[in-house]
Amino acid sequence: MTFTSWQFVLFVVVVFAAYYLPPARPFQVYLLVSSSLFFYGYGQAELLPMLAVAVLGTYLFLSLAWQARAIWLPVGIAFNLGLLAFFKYKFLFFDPLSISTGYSPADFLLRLPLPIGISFFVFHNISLLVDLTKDDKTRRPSLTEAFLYIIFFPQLVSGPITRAAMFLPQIREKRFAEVPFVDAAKWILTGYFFKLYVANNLNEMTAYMDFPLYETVRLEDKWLLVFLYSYQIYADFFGYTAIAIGLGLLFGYRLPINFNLPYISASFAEFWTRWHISLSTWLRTYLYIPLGGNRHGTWRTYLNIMIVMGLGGLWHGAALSYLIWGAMHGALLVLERILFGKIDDHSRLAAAIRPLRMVLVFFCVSMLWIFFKLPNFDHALAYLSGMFTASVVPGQAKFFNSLALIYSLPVIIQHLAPPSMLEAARRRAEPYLYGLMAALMCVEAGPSTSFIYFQF
Amino acid sequence: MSPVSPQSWFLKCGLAALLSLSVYAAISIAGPKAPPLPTSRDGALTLLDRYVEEPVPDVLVVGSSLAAHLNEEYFDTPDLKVLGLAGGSPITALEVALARDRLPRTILIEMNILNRREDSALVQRYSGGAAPAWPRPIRSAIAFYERWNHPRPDRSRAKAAAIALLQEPPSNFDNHVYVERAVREWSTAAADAVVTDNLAVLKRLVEKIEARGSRAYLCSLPLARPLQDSALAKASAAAAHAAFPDDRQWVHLDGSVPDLRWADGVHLDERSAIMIAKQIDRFLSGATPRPAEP
Repeated sequence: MTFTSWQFVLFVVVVFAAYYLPPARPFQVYLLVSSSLFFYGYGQAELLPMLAVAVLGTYLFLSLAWQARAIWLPVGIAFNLGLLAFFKYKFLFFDPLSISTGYSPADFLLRLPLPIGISFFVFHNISLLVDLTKDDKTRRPSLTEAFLYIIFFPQLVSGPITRAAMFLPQIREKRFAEVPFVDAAKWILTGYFFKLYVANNLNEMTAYMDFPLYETVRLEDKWLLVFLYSYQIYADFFGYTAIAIGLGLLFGYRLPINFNLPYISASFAEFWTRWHISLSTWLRTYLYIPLGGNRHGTWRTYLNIMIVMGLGGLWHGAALSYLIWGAMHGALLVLERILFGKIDDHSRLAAAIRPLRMVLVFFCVSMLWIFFKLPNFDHALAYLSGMFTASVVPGQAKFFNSLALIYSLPVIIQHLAPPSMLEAARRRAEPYLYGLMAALMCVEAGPSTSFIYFQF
Repeated sequence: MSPVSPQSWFLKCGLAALLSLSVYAAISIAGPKAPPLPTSRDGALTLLDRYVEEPVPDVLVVGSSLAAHLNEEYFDTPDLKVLGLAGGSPITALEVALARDRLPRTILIEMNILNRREDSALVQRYSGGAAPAWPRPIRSAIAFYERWNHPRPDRSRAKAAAIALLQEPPSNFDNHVYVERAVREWSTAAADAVVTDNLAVLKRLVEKIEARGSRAYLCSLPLARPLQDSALAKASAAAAHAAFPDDRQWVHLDGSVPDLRWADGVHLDERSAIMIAKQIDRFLSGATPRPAEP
């Protein structure tokens, strides 16, 4: 069930109505858990047992870790990483069409598709294990509460990755009068607008980046498409997260902000504090710092950055392109520490060249999205080389720059409009602007496509 | 300034949305019909839209993307239109043509691609069977702007360019990578059932065309030799000739001309398409069209 389907809208309306009925108040957590299971099982019912095993297994190891953390915490983490590795990377070793071990349960497991959102709920599980076993003072959640934290439907499929320590204290009785309706509506409208108007319309054009269509694209359009994909992936993922945050508010839960205008970053380090913030925070907390962070000298810091970014890349999928994407980001983070460290010490100089650095960071980030768009490394390389050599294939597709601009405009305005201007305009025009956005996303929605991050 | 109450906020938001949607509905119903704007220039939507908006031509060529490479400007035959639908089937174009009150006097059907079914959504849309789709307002505005900014190329200049291209030597572009890829894709014969179904539909449509007094001819556009020998091409050709055994219905195009090139492995390049268009011109000038429908 995707967020943009009418079935989902109906589902939310029904769950919301039942959730705030006074007689249902003592059962709100149960209602959210069961509706989240319904939401997940609606698309992949055969994977519900796997989800149950993941949550129940994690809770078992959590209970054991409260007794002996040193032993059971690593086992619990290994259990979750094992699940992730099995489902994400099994097809590196097995051809799904010709799997036959001669043992039918094994064949069944090997043939199971990649469970939607596995990367996200496995990270939730690990957060649960680590955060709640740090000290004895932390309140121990019940199994139902742990279930809700892991499978809360707005964030189940693509995050934002919420830390257990942030979510669990919010589990309490919710009242209708406390719902911040305006805030929720703003998040939900913004999210749907960015997904339906921006991302889906841009997708019609960036579909030409796929193999072999990109061979029919002119040199200049190949460049255009790279930047359009940059806007599309932002609008798509930001849109999803905004809807999730808005839905969270409707049910009384505040989920973390996941994006903060990433394309105005003046450094790669800044980019990772603005893009998919919940993932970078998770990686920093549970991987970079345990690896030693920057506490063991310059070279060890560089190595840690490369390890974290490489694994962050592989987290997206078992493809060389994802590894290269992560490793390249790691290399850029290391490189800027070496090159820009001195410049950052001179505040005037740093301020003067900030616009240039913003352009540079946006350019590099956009170029690296090619590896994201084309997980087949050969295709990604062919696309990259095609950006520097004129295509001689006849019958080339041509794109309307006017259309590209008009669909990208919301992302550009959001990033480049001075906050003061938005602040001033917001006072009077805000409700009308949201009304216009609602109308526009209804009549100008692009052809339906699933969210890009659903595949992870 | 006091904060806006939720009721007031939702009222203003709802009013703005309602007003915008009302203006949009009024313009969509009463305003001019927006031309389609596919993401890349041309494409099936533009071709079909133009076909149903303009007068019925004397000669119509229908087919897939193979036929789409035969630009109308390459032909000397006057009043000829090409409905080559990239990724589509000749059946789709034929159904749209048959839905109009008048038929072209001669219809040439490209028979290379027989494994694609009719696009019923397109047929419905362009044969008056579907309610008109609500336009996307921004896309429509851009479509008007682009049509104004990019008028169709001048026909006489395009013809002159085609003649000049014929004087040039054939392309020496090395297409072996593309041919090999195409051969791999064409190495398995299409599902028999689909081809059989499509041929049955084509037979029915050809009968309808002839019953309305027009002539229908069939042709296979030349393919690169390795592709011509592929399982898909051979099976399609055999099935087509079995379904339409009357040799007088077929236009035999000479694919052995050494100058023919397929730059992307499958489709004729510009110069080769002009050469094939001239062959079709020669056939059409000798063919005896039936008298026009009353």
